[in-house]
Amino acid sequence: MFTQLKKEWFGNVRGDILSGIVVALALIPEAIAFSIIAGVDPMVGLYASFSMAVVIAFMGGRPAMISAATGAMALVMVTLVKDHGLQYLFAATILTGILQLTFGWLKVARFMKFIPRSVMVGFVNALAILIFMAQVPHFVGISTMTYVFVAATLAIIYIFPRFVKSIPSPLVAIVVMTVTVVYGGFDLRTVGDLGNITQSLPSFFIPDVPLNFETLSIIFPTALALSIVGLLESLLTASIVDDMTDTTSNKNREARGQGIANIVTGFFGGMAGCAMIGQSVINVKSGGRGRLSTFVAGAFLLFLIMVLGGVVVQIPMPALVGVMIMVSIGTFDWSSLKAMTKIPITDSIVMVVTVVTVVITHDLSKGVFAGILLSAIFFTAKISKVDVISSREGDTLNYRASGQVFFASVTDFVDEFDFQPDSVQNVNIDFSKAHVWDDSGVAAIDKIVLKYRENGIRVSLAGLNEASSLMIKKMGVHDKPGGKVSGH
Amino acid sequence: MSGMILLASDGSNHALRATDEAIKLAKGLNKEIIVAYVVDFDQSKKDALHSTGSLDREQKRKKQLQSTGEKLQEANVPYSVKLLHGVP
Repeated sequence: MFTQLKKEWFGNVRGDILSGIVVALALIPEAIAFSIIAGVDPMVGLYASFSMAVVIAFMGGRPAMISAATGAMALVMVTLVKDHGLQYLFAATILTGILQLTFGWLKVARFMKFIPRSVMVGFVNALAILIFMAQVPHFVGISTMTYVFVAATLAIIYIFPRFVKSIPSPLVAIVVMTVTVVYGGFDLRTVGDLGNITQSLPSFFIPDVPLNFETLSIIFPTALALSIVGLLESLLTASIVDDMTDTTSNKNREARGQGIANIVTGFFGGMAGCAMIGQSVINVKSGGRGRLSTFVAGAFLLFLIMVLGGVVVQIPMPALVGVMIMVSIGTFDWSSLKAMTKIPITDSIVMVVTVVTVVITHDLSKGVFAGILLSAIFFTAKISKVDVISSREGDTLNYRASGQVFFASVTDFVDEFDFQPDSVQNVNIDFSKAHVWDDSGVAAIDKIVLKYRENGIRVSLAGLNEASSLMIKKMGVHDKPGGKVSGH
Repeated sequence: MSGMILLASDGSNHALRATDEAIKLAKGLNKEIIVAYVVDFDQSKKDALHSTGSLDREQKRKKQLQSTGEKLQEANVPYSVKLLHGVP
């Protein structure tokens, strides 16, 4: 236990400290930009990133994963912030944490396997599209100079890593653009136009909202959406980090950790956050492997906020827009477009429906639900094909059924039988390749048996597996005296 | 002379050509081949998103190396496969 803890914290000190510093630098522009997406002061996102990272370093189940203020969460809270204000956001953040903690206790991670991959791909693609859409009002139709600065930022972001890999290029772009604007005297909108930065430590306070049922009904829908979106992205990120580092992680502990981190974050005036795919990838790429890397990222971020607070307000908006465009390009799963020609068409439909639902409703959780629902329907349709093969020997008609006999397949199943065959005395139905799942399936078999009996034909069922015959014994009527098909 | 031949492979056509060369070398020098399949970080991200779990991922990756493995078996060269994670 103790050696495990020591390994998780101090197994890779040098790499963890360096990568933590890189991540802290990379977090600054994103935390500010996500705050602007959510419609709150940059400090709210910066505080959140600090407290999420530090708390998750202790409580998380996946060492070296980075949690902070994220785009996915910011997008979910927009309406709440616009309609009810910041205090309600803090309250919702705390409630999000409580919900996630509960989900963690209920071992929510095992339910992740029920979320189809096409829904997850749709989730990240929708996230990328929404992040991009959120940038449009900040650069389209403002001024020519805005376009020039966005383009220049993107150029630096994508070209700089060819020469220097150790410093995050988005930060370099932000610094270069800010210096250019400050000394060049360009007339561009800055972060200061959209919010305030205070160079103070985050402090503990209880959100200023009335503690009553009305408040709960305001924050609960948002908190539920936040907790689902947060856990989805966190657990997806955890499995990505698992694969990158070829290690395993405790997903339920991670869910609980996310909950605790959000509760703490809410009380310290931060917005709800979750794990970040992009930043976690940067962390592992930069050599981070242990919990120390996450802790250093959070702690160094706070240090930077203290030192740089005054400078942040001078960052030109086009530079942040450039960073966010890069984030959205990096988030979008481009391989899914290529794969569309190869994977089953139903998978592509599920993916597209997930994306479209999110883009219309601006709510990632609704898209996920739509996607899961649709793929469940497709799955049911796919397995509801029952094959019935018939063959005749003299006055005996043999049927062989194969497939799943349940509510979705019974209609087609019954239609496969010929109830008025010429000069047939016996009908044998072989179920050895079939499975009867529910009362609809049993009712269908009753119907078939009784119908043949009505026509004076003897029916025998064979090869039913244990579960199926047990169900028929319990619910069937054809083998009981006076059996009749019920009316409905 | 001791030692082994390291063959980096991702199952692509280029990798299959490299396999042919490695077989020639292994036969000529009487050596063992180690097939290394390296999952780089961006590949990890893509694979984790597109697979249902680590078992599923492992299977997909093994499948990519199938033709390489077949080639080596046909040539009757001793070999082992290693799956590595990281940046090559």
